[in-house]
Amino acid sequence: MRLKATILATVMLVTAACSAAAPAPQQSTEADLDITGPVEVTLWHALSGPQQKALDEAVAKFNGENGKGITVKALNQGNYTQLGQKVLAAINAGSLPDFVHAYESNIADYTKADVVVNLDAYVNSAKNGLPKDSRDDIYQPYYDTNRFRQFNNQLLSFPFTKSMFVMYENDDLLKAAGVSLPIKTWEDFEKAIVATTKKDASGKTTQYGWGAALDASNFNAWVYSRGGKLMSDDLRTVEWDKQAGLDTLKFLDKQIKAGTAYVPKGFDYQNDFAAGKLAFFMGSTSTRPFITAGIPAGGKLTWSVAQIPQADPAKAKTVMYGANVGILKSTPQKQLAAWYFIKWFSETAQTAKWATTSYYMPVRKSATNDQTLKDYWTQKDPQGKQAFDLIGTSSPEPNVRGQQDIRDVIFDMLTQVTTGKATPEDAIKAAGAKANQILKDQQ
Amino acid sequence: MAIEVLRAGAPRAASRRRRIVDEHVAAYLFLLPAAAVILVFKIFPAFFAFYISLFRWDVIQGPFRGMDNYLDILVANPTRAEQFWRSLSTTVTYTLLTIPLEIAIAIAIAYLLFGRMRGRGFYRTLYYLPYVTSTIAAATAFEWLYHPQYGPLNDLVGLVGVGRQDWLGEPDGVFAMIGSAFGAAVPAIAAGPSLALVAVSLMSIWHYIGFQVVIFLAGLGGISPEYYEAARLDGASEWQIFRKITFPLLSPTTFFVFTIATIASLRVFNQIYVLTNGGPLDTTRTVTMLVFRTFFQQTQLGLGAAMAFLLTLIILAFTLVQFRVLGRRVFYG
Repeated sequence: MRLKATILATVMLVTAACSAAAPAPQQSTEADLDITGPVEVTLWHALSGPQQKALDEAVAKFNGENGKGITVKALNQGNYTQLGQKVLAAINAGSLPDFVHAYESNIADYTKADVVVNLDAYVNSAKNGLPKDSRDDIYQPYYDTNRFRQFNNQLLSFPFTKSMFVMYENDDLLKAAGVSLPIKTWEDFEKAIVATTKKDASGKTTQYGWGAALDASNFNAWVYSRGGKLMSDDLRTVEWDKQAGLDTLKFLDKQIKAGTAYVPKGFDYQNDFAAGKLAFFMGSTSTRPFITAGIPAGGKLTWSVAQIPQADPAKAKTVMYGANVGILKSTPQKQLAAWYFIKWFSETAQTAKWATTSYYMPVRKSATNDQTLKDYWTQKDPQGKQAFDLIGTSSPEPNVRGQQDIRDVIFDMLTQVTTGKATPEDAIKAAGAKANQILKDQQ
Repeated sequence: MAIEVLRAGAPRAASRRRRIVDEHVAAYLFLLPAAAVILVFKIFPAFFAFYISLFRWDVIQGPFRGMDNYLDILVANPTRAEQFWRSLSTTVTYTLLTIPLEIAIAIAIAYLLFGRMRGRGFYRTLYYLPYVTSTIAAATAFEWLYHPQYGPLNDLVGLVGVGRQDWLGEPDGVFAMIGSAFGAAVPAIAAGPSLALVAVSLMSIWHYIGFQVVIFLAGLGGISPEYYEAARLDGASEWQIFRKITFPLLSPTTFFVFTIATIASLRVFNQIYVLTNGGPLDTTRTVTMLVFRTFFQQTQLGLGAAMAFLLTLIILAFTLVQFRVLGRRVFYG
C-alpha cells in the first residue's frame, strides 16, 4: 500500500513539476533593432510536394543573400491539422518554433495562449518596416484577413499561401450549348447550367452543368456573392443564417432536385471537369494545376477562371482562401529575423516567383508588372492571370475562435439540404442556432 | 555440538540472504527499462490527461474546474451532453455491428483452416494479411471500393439489382433504406445505423478477422484430439462435434477474443478518420472522434481529456461486466 502511495505521489510530483517547469515565452515588441549576430529561426509549415520544394528554394535564396547572418530553417510538420496539433503541443511544452504557417482560426487560438507577436510594430517600423508605397502595394484584403478584431484589431499574421474562391468554366461545353459569356448573375448561371446539362430518354442526367462541391468556405462565398454578411459587427452572432444564406440553400436544393447539379465526392469534380464532362465548378484558385494535370493524354480542354455569380456584379465579392504566417514570441533578435524573412518573401520579385512555382496568388499588385510572372501567365497559366485580376474582390472569412467548429456546422447544414434531410429553412435555422452557441461558448 | 552447527549455519544463511537480495536486485534491474517505458509513455500520460481534465484548459491551462468538465459532458451543458451521449451510442452500435460478426466469421474460418486441406498455409497467410496492413492504407483502399461513382462495390451490388449507393456519405439508417426500397415507412427510432457506419464496420470486420483467426487456430490446437476420436467412434456428426466439443472447449479463447475485440472497438479511430471523418451528419462520430475534435479542433483540452477519461472508465466497466457475466461461463476443461 505504501509502495503504491509512493508511486502515486512520485507521478503526481513529476506531473506538477513538468507543468510548472514549462517556461513562458518571452515577450518582446522590439521592431527597430539591428540584427547583431548570426540568428537561426525555425519556420513550421504544412507545404508538401512541389510547394515545399518551391519554399525550400526561396529559403535557400534568402539564407544566401540576406547579408545579416539570418538562417531560416523551414520544416514541414505534416498537413494543416497535424501542424496545428504540433503547435498546440509546443505551446503547452513551452518550446515553440519562431514562426508558423497557420490559418486565421489557428492564429486566434495561439493568440489566446499569448504567444503571437503583434506585427503592426514591425510593418510600421521606420527602420525595418514596409515603406508606405510598399504597404499600399499589398492587397487590402490580405491585411483585413490577418487583422483580428477580437484581439484589439492587431495584425497578428501576414499573407503567405493565399488563394481565393472562383468559378471554373468549361468553354468548350458552354460554346456547344450556346451559352453567352461572361456569366455575371445567379440567374445567368442557372440558365447556363440548365443549358449544359444533358439527360437521357429516361430523364437521368448524363452530363451535369454544375459540380456543387460542399464546403463551408464555398457557402460563405455564395453568401458574400448575394450581398450577405457572415458575422455580426460585434462578432457575437453569425449572419449567414439570414436571407442571403437561405437563398443560397434554396438555389442549391433546387439545382440538385432538378438534376442540373450534383454533389461530388472528394475531388471528383476536378476529374470530371478535366475530362470535359462538367460545365462548371467553383473552388480554389489553387485547383488550376490539378485541372491541367487531369486532362487526359491526347485530350483538349478550353477552360477559364471567372468571378463567381453575383447578386450585384458591380459589388462583386468572393472568399479569400489560404493560410498566413505568424511570428511567435521568442527573443527580439529571432522575432526580427523572422520578420525579415516575411518582409523579403512578400517583395514583388519573390511573391511573383512564388506565384509561378506554387500556384498561390501573389500578394502585391505590382507583381503584375514582373516579367517572369507575365511570361509565365502567357505561356503556361493564362487562368492564373484571370484569377489575379479578381483578387481585389476577395474578402476574408471570419477569423474568430470557434470558426473551425462553425465550419462543421455549415457543412452539416449543406449535407442536410442536399440529401433531403431538411428543408433549407429548417436547416439554416438550426445551424444558425448551433453556430451562435459555439460563439457564446468561446467567449 | 548444536552451537557449532548453528555457527556453521549462520554464514550459509547470510550468504543465502545475500543471494536472494542480489537476485531481487537483478530482477528489478531487468524490469526497470520496461517499467520506465510504461511509466513514461503510459502511466504518466494517463495521470496527466486526468490532471488536464480537471481544468479549463482552453489552449493553455486555465482555472481549476474540479469535476465540472465531466458534469458538462454528461449532463450540465446540453450541447456537449447531447454530443457525448450520441457519440457513445454510435460507438456501442459500431461495437455491436462488428464484434459478433467478426467472432462468428473468425471461428468459421479458423475451423475450416484447422482441418486438413490443400494450401492451408497459404490461406492462413491470406487471412492474416489484412491485419498486418496499415489501417490507414486499408481504409484508403476501401474509400475507393466504396466510391459512389467509380467504386467496384456499386457495380457488384448492381448485379443483384441494387441501385448505386453513397456508401460513406449516406446518413440514412439501413433499415429505413431497406424499408423504403420495399415501399414501407420505417419509424425514425427503428431506422438503424447509417449506411456509412455499416460501411465502416464492414471494413473493420475485414481488417480484424485475420488476427482473430490466428487466436482461434491456437485455441483449436489446444483441444485434445482424443475428444474428437471418441465422439466419432460414438457416431457424432461434424456439427454435433463442433457444437458439443469444439465450441465449449474453445470458450476461453472466445472470451479472450471477445474482450480484446470489444476494447478495440470502443477505441476505434483510424478507419473512421480516413473514411468519413465522423460524417455524414455525425452518424459515424464515435467517442474517440469526438475527443479528437474537442481536443484538437476546438482546442478545449480540458473537456477533451475529460471525455477521454470517461471513455477509459466506460471501457473498464465493459471489461469488468464481461468478466463478471461471461467469465463464469467459460469452460476451462
